[in-house]
This record gives sequence, structure tokens and C-alpha cells, in this order.
Amino acid sequence: MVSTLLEPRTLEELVDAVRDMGRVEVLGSGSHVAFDVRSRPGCSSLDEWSVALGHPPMLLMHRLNGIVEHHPEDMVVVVRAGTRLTDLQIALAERGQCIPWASPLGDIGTVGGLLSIGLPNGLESMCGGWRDWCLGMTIVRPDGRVARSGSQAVKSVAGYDVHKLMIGARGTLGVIAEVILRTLPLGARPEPRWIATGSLAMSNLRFQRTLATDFSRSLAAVRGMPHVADEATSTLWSVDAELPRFEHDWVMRAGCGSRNLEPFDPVQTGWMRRAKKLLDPEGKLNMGALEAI
Amino acid sequence: MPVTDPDRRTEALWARELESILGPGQILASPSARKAYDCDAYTIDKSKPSVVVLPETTEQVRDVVRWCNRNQVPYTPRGAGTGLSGGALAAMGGVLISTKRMTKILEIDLPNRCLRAQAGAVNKRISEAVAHAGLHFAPDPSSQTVSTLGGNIAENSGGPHTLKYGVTVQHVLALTMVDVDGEIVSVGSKVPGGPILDFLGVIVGGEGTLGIVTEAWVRLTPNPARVETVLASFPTVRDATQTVADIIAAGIIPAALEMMDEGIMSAVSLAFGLVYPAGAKALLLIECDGEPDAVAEEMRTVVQICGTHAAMDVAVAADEVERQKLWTARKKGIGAMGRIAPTIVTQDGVIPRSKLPEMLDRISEVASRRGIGIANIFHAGDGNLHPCMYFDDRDPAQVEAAVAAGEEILEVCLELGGSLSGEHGIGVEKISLMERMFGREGLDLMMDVRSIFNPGDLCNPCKVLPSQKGCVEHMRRWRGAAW
Repeated sequence: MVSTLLEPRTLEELVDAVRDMGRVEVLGSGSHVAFDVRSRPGCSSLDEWSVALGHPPMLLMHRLNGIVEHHPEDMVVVVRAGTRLTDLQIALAERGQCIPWASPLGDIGTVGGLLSIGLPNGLESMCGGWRDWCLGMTIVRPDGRVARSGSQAVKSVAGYDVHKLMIGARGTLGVIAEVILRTLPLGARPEPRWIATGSLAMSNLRFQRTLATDFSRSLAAVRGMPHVADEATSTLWSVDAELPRFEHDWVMRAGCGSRNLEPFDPVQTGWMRRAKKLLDPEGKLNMGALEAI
Repeated sequence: MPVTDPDRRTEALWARELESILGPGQILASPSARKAYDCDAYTIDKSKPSVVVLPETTEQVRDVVRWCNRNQVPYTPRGAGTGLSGGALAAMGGVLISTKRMTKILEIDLPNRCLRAQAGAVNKRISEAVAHAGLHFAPDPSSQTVSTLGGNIAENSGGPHTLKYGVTVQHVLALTMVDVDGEIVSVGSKVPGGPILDFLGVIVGGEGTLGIVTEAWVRLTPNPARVETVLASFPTVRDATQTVADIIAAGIIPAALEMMDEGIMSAVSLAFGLVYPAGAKALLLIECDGEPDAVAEEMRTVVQICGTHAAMDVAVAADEVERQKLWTARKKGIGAMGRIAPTIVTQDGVIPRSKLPEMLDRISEVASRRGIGIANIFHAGDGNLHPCMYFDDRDPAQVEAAVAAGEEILEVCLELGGSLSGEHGIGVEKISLMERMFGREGLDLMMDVRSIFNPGDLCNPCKVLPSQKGCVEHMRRWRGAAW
């Protein structure tokens, strides 16, 4: 069985697609499906994931790509969400700039996809992460309305930072069409100070972040196994195994389905449900990818 | 004596009930107390609360919110009242929840570099509490000797050093709040990030409209090993703004990069006897910090860049005393303006950095057309302007001109791709300009996001978003009063 596949190339095509579709799975390039809470062990490719979910209709964002505006003098870039991070980095490098992202896995995925999953990066202690770089967004709402959040100003406290809620929301609350990002001069980009042992693959990856005071115990548990450790943020990239957990820590595991959703307190669970109901009242976007608790 | 005025009767009843929930001495309801709390530092708009409550714990805040819900009484949180957009205004009357007695620092975790404090803790006290360990709380709004952690969280406060260190949202790890249903909830974690929606990132900067923050875990930042400060003067504003652009383009992110124009320079000269080179039209205060070698290298580049843009004088601070002297114009600039005119009103807007020269030309055009004075003092590094309008508020025509000039300047900020506010917030002040910035669709989305946390109209009504129930008349009233 072949599922419905939409690949819009313009904002207008995206609006039409979102407005006219029923339930749909919104994906960047599909490189992070291993972290989907609905996937099954071993699902590391888009095809395997599609089979596991019963061939859902898919909205692939990768053709909605390219830089809309780049203002090197302001160190701000407006980019379409389906742009691959590698392509963005190449284009920015031509003007001596970059997004200070560093991952043991390299520049994988699309900008929109990376924002939607909100993974940590190895320069976070020095340069921040998506939540700090993202200044604004153009969001297509499930009914086709196009809403803008934030601005190109590098500092703003006007209104609610709606775009922050989209970071890590796994495409459940709206479709990110364009993103306004801060850039950094290439010359100011530090080298990651992580310690790497062996090589890692997406299919059985685990992230863990702990308090600084717990990190050595987390590290001890992966001795002899492939891992990358960033001491400055107490972040560990490693293969998934039964590893110690600590108060205040969090983990994300590839191929581990609902184990990635830990129970929250009732008030925040209520907020998550209400967020879904208010922002996607008909339940069209990535149903169950985040709010099913 | 029996109270006969029906309003006063209700207020007396509310005060008695709330006193029984809290405790004696935790309620202020006298006419003079209500008047004292009828506005924050945005003094154009005033509205008296019926009762001011002074809770001491999160549980007491919860009990007050539950009482307000039971009785359908609006409530508004307030820190030190230094806000500049009316965020702590009891816009619909009701209960004003002051965090004045919630000033405790509850826990210090030095190994993990974080600290937990109550919302009423004064910003500066937090840094003082960990100074012995060589740490500080990075957000440094100019109100920091009085403004509170809760107020900083509500407004997502910045300050001169946020160019390098980020604004409040980058320094809040977790918070405890009372939601609009009167439940206590902990949001975020001492370990940032993770697979949950970033509610924290929306609540910080939510202007106290999404619930009442009562405690927070904040990040502590190591004090820099070395700080170097220079003050450079330039023959034209354009030379100074070009210097700013070149410093940033060189990949240097100074700890602070502040600019002052001729108006501020003459005011501080008059007030403090500071002397600047004849013909200087702009000052740049540049501070770099970090490891000594790196700072020295950065400073060499900065001084060199200043030189290529015709800097007339580049003063490098040799010690802390000299550094404080160089900061005088920046820190006391607005105060010094007070000597020049009976009234000063400071605006707040943001533009992309590269638009600074054009923006300053447009501001001076607005000033001369409206017939008021405007001096400029601002965070040049992030394009955050603070045009300082000076006029005589005893003349209604001048007040009207100042209000109109302020709105016009913000319109220009938007036209140049910027924002209505960099630090002060929307509050009640800028509500009418929100649709111009975000459009109807943007505001609808924000309204939905507000409703996730606060679907009703009791928690801090009439702020941030226009067209809320019952608020239109309120806005008309203050506009009438201002003119």
C-alpha cells in the first residue's frame, strides 16, 4: 500500500495542502522518525516508520526549502522550514556565517524538523540552542490561516513567544513554514569540547542530560560503549542501554516508542491537551506524537 | 462608623475575608494604600485595586487565587512596580497580589550553579548571595537594585549585559507557579531541555498573564576573570553605528555595547561636569569580558575598529574607579535628562542593528516635526532603542505630541522590521499597536496560546492582547485622563 504523499514547494501550496487534508503526518526529511513515540523498535527509516504506523498520509516539507532573506550585517536569516541544515550551513558559509549547531551525528535533517524535535547540541554551553537562535516563525495553522510570531529583531518582548512552543512540539501544534534564525560569524564559532569514543548511529541512539553532580555516574555506566560526552552541559549521546536515571535528568531514546514520554504532573498534562485542542481542534497534525499521555 | 458607600462596603468585606485567609497585617485596603498601588512606573495610566494582599508563601498565593475564583474577582500580580508598560496595573480593580513579602532565597546549589528564590527576591540580592562563590545572576535591568525576580520573569527583562549573556528566559531553569485554577505547578527542571513542550519559554515573558510565578530556580553565571571597558566619542552618529556593525561583524560579542547621542552627552555634561571632545556627536561604551588574554585581544580589535571610524577620543578604564566613571553617562543619562525638562518619558523599541543610522535620522525628524525634544540612549549591540522624550507635561498639547511621537517612532521600528518592545513589555501601554505588528492571525494564535494557561478573564486582565472582555472602556478612560 502506498500512502498519500504531499510535497509542497511554496507557502501557498503548503496552505492548500494543510487546509484541504484530513489527518496528516508532517515530516521534514524523516531523519528523526526513530524518536517518534509511536514508532516500534528497529524503525529507523522513513519507510519502516510508515509501515509501522499503517501508511499514514504524509506531508513532507523538504521541497519547501531555501533562504528567503539573509541579512549578514544583522546576523539574521529567514529560511524555509524544509531547508536541509547542511544546505543552510553551506549558503551561510559563503557569507562567512553559520548556525552554531554541532552534533555527533552531523548536520542531519531539515531546519523545521530539527526545531520540531528539539535535540541538544554540542555547542550549547557556549552558543545556546534552537530556543535561543529562533527569533520568529511563520506558522500554517490546521485551518490554513498563516500566523507570524516574533520578528527579525534579535531582542523582543512583544507578545507571547508562540514560536518557543513549536520548538520540540513534534509538529503537533501547527506547521512551521519559515523560521527566523540568528546566525554567528564563522570565525566566532568555537570547536565543540566533547569527548567522543566510537561511532554512533541514529537507530539506537540515546540522549541523556543530568545535573553536573550526577554526570560522572552516567559516564561510568557507558564506559567501553560508544558515546559522546559534553561535560559543560552534562549531556551524553550514547547507545541505548539500561543506564542509571537521576532526579531532574531527562532521556530521549531512538526506537523506544512511548518510553520517550514520561508522565508529567496533571497540570502540565492538562496544558498539553488544551494546547492541542486550541491549536489543532480537529486533530489533524501528527496525532499522538506528543499529547497522548 | 458603618461604611455606607456600596463600593467601600464590598471592599471592606473582601478585606475581612482575605485577612481571614492570610493573616493580620497581610492586607492593605485603606484609601491611601489603594492609591499608592494604583500604577507602576508607567504613570500615565492609573487604576486602584480594591485590596492589596501581601502573601508570604506559594500556598498563600494559591489561597488568594482560589478566593478570587470563588468570588469572580480579578487579580493582578505585582513585584516592585518598576515596570514601564503598566504590567502591574490592577486594570479592572480587584485584588493586587504583591510579592513584597516573598523575598527569601530558599536554596543555593553551588556545584550545579543554580539558586532557588521566591518571586519577590530583589534581582541584585541574588547576585550578592552568591558573590562569595564568584557567581552572579546575569540579567541586569537598570532597575536591578529594586526590581524583583518575579517581575524580571514576567517581563523577560534584559539589561546592558544581555547582548552577551542573554535575557531572563536564558537564565530561568524552572519555576513554581499558581495556575489560574489555583493549583500549584512546577514547570521546567534544574536540567534544561528535554522531551516536553517549552511551557517555561512562554511563561517567562508572559507578563504575568499566564498564572502567578511564586518561586524560580535560576542559573548562576561565573563572574568574568577580566573586564575591560572603553568609552569612545565620534564626530557623527553614523561613525558610531558603523563601529557597532564592524565590531559585531568581526565576530566579537562584547558584554555590553551602548550608545548615547548628543542630547544625552550635553545632559550628563551639565549634571556631572563630564567633558567630551568638542564636536563629538555620539558616544559608544564598549565592554568586553572573559579570560584575560582573549579580552585583551578583543579590546585591541575594538580600539582599532573605533580608529578606522574617526573616533575622537578612546578612553580605556585602567581600574574599577575609572570603569564606573566611564559608565556614568550610560547609567545616569536618563536621570540627567530630568534636569533639562519637567517630564521625561523613555520609549522602548527594537530594530535590526543595520538600520540604526536610518532610525536615528527618522527619530530626529519626528522630534522636530512634533516640536518635542528626543535624546537617544540605547543598547546598540542588539538594536534596542530607548528614545528619551523630554517635554513639559503641564502643557496638554506637549503631552499629546509626546504620545503621538512615541507611537510614530514605534511604527518606524515595525516598518524597519523590528519590534514594539525590547525590554519593557506590552502591558496596557502598547496594546493598540499589537495588531500592526502581528496582524489578526498572529494575535489569534497568541490568544489561543494564552487560553492554554488562562482561558478566563480574572488573571491579570487587559494586558498584552487587545479586545478582551470589558477592557475597551478602560483604555479609553486612561487616554482621557492622560490628556
